[in-house]
Order: sequence, then structure tokens, then C-alpha cells
Amino acid sequence: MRLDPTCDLVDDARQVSRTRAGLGSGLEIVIPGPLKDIWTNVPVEEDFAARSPYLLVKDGSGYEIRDGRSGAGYSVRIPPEPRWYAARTSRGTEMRRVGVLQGTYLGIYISNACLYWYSSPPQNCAFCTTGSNVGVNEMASKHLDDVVEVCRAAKEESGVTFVHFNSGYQAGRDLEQAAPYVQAVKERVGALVGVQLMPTPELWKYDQLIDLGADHFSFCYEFHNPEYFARYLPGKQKTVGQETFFRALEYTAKLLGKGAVSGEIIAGVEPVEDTLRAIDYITSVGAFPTVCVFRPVIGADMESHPVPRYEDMRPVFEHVYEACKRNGIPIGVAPNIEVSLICQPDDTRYLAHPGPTTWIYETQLKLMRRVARPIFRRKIARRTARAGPGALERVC
Amino acid sequence: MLTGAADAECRAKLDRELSLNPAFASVVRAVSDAAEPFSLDPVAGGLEFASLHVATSSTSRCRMKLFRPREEKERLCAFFFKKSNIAGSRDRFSYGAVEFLPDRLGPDEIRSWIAWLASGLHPGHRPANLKRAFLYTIPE
Repeated sequence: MRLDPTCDLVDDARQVSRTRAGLGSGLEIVIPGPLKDIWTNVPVEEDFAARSPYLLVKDGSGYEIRDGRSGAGYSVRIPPEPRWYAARTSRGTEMRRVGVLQGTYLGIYISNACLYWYSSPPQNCAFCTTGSNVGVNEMASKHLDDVVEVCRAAKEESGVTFVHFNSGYQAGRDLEQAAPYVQAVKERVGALVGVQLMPTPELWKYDQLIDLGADHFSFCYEFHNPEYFARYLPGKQKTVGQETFFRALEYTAKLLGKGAVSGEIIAGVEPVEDTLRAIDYITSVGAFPTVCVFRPVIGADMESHPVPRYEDMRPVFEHVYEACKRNGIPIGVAPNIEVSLICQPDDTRYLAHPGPTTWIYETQLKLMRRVARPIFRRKIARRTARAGPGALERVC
Repeated sequence: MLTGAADAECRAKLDRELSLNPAFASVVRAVSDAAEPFSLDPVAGGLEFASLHVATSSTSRCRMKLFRPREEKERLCAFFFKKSNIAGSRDRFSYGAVEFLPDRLGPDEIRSWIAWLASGLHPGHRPANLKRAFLYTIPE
């Protein structure tokens, strides 16, 4: 999307920030709609954005996206920057350099850059810029107390209900590194906690992390086609392998129940048929698919890779809804979790094929939302972890 | 060439940084002698050179920052990045960094940095020994 000179993003918007942005960073916008508002992160920095037909214009006090091809205009909301972004923790760290809102949840990259970036030659995922981001736009390491303070500020001031921790490859100590953060947020702040780490074949570690407070796991295996997985994810191919992702996804989906675990994939690089197969697989094991539209980010190895076409992406998201419906995956049930960097399954409700099965599914979802409300209220409250500190280390 | 090198602000910045890190002098000389135009940011931390070569839209966003990553260590660093084009954004799009010891830095190496900067940080012109990830925080 292009930005018209009328835009006053310094005053009106969240600062476009690359903190924790491996795959993409851009302008956060909200597209209002009758079913739900859609939060999205729109590329504005990359060269391809300069060729977009969409232009963001400030009109009076509101914003509109104008389509240069048809002249149509769409009202959008620009979420303002939270005040806590500019605040500092007791240790003096600027809070925005610890974590940022990506939609309505708080995202924190917990540890030093993914070790794939430090191999020689580097084995980083070709689409990613995480390694070149940590230390440049965000803190190289996150102190536990800083993380707790940022989570607390985000909960109190922005109403955050969900904290998502992610990390790159940590040579098999991925879950151990995340454990103290998970436990601290659960015990000292109170929030739903999600973790996105490299998978481990030592599946018992997931039980421990759940005991410490993890409510959600997501597994970024990116490409379903094994050739694409190997070509674009050399580190994951060499050290972990696609099968480990599948086993961890299946195990945790069984542990936490339907709709609590996600498989994250990138659409727009591998053939669309493979992406559809990925969606079928993920939903068949009780997980939900989170689909990122490929973005050739500045500085990534795939910076010059072509951007996907709208015509190819629309059927992907139609398929997300249909697959979730077919497998009875609860979508949009957790309170106040809107994700901007990926397309959430409940965003795809706009693409649902009308008919009796859709009506039944939507009715079930409505009921689930009501039933789940007190459950989530309990989960969001502060509580003592079932496992003690260092549980993962002790069993090792 | 280094445009605005005679400006008082630019001069003061150069004097200050070169007194802290005299080893940067060879890079400053090479930038001044280059055919392509560069400017020096008088406010940014370290010595930050911007390419003024406007061959493509993104070339003019390319920057090279010279700094000392750790005060107690002799090792220096040339960090390459593109600046955000969004008003108010402090984001930097990293393309990597070359770490070097002052006494081992040769003119060919410096020339390769300058050529890369002027090329718009083209992947085909990456300098040797480029590191893509760091364990320290790069100053703004």
C-alpha cells in the first residue's frame, strides 16, 4: 500500500516497527466489517508496495484506502500507538524494544537471534529477517523482569489477553529457554500464553511447558511440499526435519484439545495445491491453520522473489474456512485475540460458502464462545504454575 | 565524495568520532575519494554514511554505520542497512555487518564496502566476511 502525504502516521498510528518481525512488518490497520473487524499488517516499506494500486489517505480525522483501479474507497481504522511503547522498564529498557502489539496481542521474541543465522554458511530460512533484526531494532536479549513489566503494561493499558513468545533455533534448548518466561507471565501477570518454538522430538517437554502455563503452541513449518521445505528452510531441514514438526503438532493438539494449537504456513511460494494440502492436514489433527501471505521483506534472501497474486490467495483462505468447518475446529473463541501478521481462521468467515453446514458451524461457534467465556476468564487470571521452576531442566 | 564535509556540524562529528576511533580515518578517506556521492549523518551514533546515489528508489536509503560494538574490545564494525522510508520510523533494515580489527583493514576491503553501498546493497556485491546476525545492540 502507498501512503498519501495527507497521512499523519507519526501522531495517528503505531510506529511501523520491525521488533519481532521476521516475515513482515508494516502498518497496522483495522478493516471494520459486519461479522468482525479484521486486523492486518500492511506492507508499506518494500519496493513492491510503491507499485500497489491501494493508497492510504487521511480524510478529515479518519482514514480511507482508495483503489486506484476502480476509484472505490474503503474506510479503515488506524490503531493508535499505546503509551507504554515509549515507557521504560525499571531497568531502563524502552518497552517497545522488548515487545510489540501485533494486532491485539503482545508478541515477544524471547532470546538472542536464531542460531541458524550464526552457522557458516548461514542456514536461515530464506524468507526471514529475524536474525538481522535482533540487536538492530530490538534488544539482543530479553531480561525476565523487563518482559514481565512489558506484559503487565500491555495488559493494564492495552487490555492484552494473550502473550505470544517466539524464538528461533536454540540448538535443542528451545523449550528450556522459554520456560521461565511462560511461568513468570502466568504467575506474575496473568494472561493466555502462547509459544512458537522449534519443535522437539522429546514430546514430554510439552507436558512440562503446559504445567508451567502454556495455553497454546504454534509450529511454523512454512511449506508442506518437502522440496520447498528443504530448499527454503535449510536449517530446519538439517537440524529438525518436517516430521518433527508434524509429530509435535499432533502431540500437542491431542494434549490441549481442538483449536488450541496451530500450524503456521506461508502461502504464495509453494504451489497452491500444497498449501491446500497443508490446511487439510493441520485441521485433520485438530489444529488450526495460520496462513501468512508471503512478503518479500527488505534484506531477506527472498527479497526479490515475486509477490503472490490475489487470485491465487483467495481460494487458500476460502479453503481455511471450509477445512475448519469440516473438522469442527473452534475459531475466534478466545477473547480479544486479533492477529495482524497472519490471516486468522475466523477472518475467513467473510469467504464462507453460504448453506446449512455453514449455518450449523456458525451456530456452534456462537455457543462455544459463550461456554468458553468463564474458562478463559480463569485462564487469564494469575495463577501458580503446576510445575516448579526448572521443571524441564530437572527431568533432563 | 563526501558532500558537506566542510560543514561545521559534519567536521565536528568527524573530529569527535575519529578521536574516539582513529582507525575509522582510512574509511573516511576512502569515502571522500570515492566517485559516488555520500553524506555523513551528524546526529546518528558512530559514523553513519548515507549513499546519495539515486540510481534506484531504494539506493538512497542505503547506509553504512561505523562503530565499536564493545567499548572494552578493539574490534570495530561496519554495519550496512536501509533506512525506513516512513516518517517517524526508527526501523533499520539490516543487510549485515563486517567486523574488523583496525590493523588488518585493507583499502580493497573498504572499497568493496563503498561499492556495495553505492550498488543499493545488491546481494551480488556482498563483501567478504559479512555477518548477518549479531549478539550486540547496534547504536542508533
